[in-house]
Amino acid sequence: MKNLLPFSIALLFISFSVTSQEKLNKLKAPSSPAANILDLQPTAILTPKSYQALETALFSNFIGNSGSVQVPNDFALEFSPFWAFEHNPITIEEYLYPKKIWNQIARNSSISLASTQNFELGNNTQSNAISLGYRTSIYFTNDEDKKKVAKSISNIRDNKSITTAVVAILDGKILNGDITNNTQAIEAAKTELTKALQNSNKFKDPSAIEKVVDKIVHSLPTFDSNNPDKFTDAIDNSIREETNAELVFSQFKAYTKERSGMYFDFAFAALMNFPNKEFSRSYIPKVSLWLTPRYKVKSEIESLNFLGVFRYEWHDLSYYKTFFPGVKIYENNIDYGFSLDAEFKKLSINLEIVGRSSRTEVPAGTSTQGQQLFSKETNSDIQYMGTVTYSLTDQIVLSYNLGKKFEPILNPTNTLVSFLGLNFGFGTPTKSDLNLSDK
Amino acid sequence: MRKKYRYKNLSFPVSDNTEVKFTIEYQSSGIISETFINIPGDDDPEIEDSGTVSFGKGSGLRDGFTVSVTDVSSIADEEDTIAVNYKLNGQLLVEHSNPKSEEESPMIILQIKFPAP
Repeated sequence: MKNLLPFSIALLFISFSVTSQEKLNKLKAPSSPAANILDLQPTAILTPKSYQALETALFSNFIGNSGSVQVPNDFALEFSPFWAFEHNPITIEEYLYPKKIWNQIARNSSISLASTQNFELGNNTQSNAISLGYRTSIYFTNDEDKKKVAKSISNIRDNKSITTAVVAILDGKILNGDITNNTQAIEAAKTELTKALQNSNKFKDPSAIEKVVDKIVHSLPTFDSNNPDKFTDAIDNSIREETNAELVFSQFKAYTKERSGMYFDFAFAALMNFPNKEFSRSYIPKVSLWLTPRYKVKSEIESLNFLGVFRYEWHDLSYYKTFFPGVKIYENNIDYGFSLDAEFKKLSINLEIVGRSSRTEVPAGTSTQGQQLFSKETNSDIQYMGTVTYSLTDQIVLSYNLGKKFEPILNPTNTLVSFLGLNFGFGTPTKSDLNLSDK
Repeated sequence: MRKKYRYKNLSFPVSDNTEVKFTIEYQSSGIISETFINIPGDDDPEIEDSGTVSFGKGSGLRDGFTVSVTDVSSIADEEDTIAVNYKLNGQLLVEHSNPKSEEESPMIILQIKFPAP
């Protein structure tokens, strides 16, 4: 291990030679399109959940002390109109499996707003900028998801049935005077716990039930007739611990945020810049549109993820000519890519292809009839990368990357990436460090 | 330990021959809940999420307390409260609401008496 340390340090330095890559994940539909188009990483995102809260958030940030309108710095807000409106409660079935696609689009729609006072222009001066974004997502379920959801909900319901039955019966016995001392309380707790566990689908083996009942009963405080709630509260707590109720629910909730099946994420954002920090002069220099289809399959032993990304960006060339002179900007840019992730027990394989196509129409004089002529200026490039990672132990990971990166501005023929890495789990390069870094 | 919300000393006067119907209506979304109602006698009803059950005639409910225990969880992060209405024969008995920041999986306990009018 000691002898491998210089080797791993060497790998850390080598990894810096594979930079200047467009990371596929960066092209995905962002969670906050407005912050993304501004390149803003806000310290906090405001998420008002009612129209009153939205009004308050906007008023307190966009109206200055003197009552004049101002552009707040490092500001980001995300608002879901559907959930802010008065709406009928949605059952768990409708929440997980919306009957109409439009319902799903509406429920997942969010509007984002971001602003900064530090939008840097080409001559390094700071200006004000505001951006507005929209995002939604559509999910298509499958049999695997339905099975997983049904099993989890049944498990959650089982846990709840045990606690509610035991607490309701013991509470009733206490109120009706059938339990007045600790001996009666423990005896009743044993009886009701055994009945509830037998009725549930969780425990089939009588000896397992007996073991759980004993454990719960031994954890209970002495029954106090002046404070009987303490006794039933403790029973509820112990049942939840023994049935892992909290963990079962939190795991299910986490799963519902990233279910197996097909997703379509759609996002849109527009940037507005005030170069002189005055509202009287504004530009819309950039508009972006994202479409990300992704498919996730997960079972007990492996997972498979497919991701496709498409991003379209439009730039106002006259704006960039004025405020970013000398910077090469194309009017229309399309980024696209695909990735495939497969994970087995110790082995994971990632294949990734990212392409970029840019196009601008430039004036090319006038025809003999006096009409304006244009010529097309285009640029395109592609990068691909394959990564194989094998976990030698819990801490040590061996990885190999092979592929081609985008042509760098300097030394454009140097595009081959071939890299063997060993990660000891204490700061050596990670898969994402090796693969692709920020633009 | 999770928070319990106890509504004690609830009373719903009902005549001997009137059937008592108990209803649970959620006002928030994405709820998974189970309710067990311990009524006098052996026929204790249960409600999965929302719904209505019969407690039988008023005369059968005189002998002691009826205890309803609901265990709720919500998976909808878009909602910041858990709100539920408990009704007896269509009349609002308890309007419960708690912020999720206070308790995401509350237990709601109702202790009800059914005296003769």
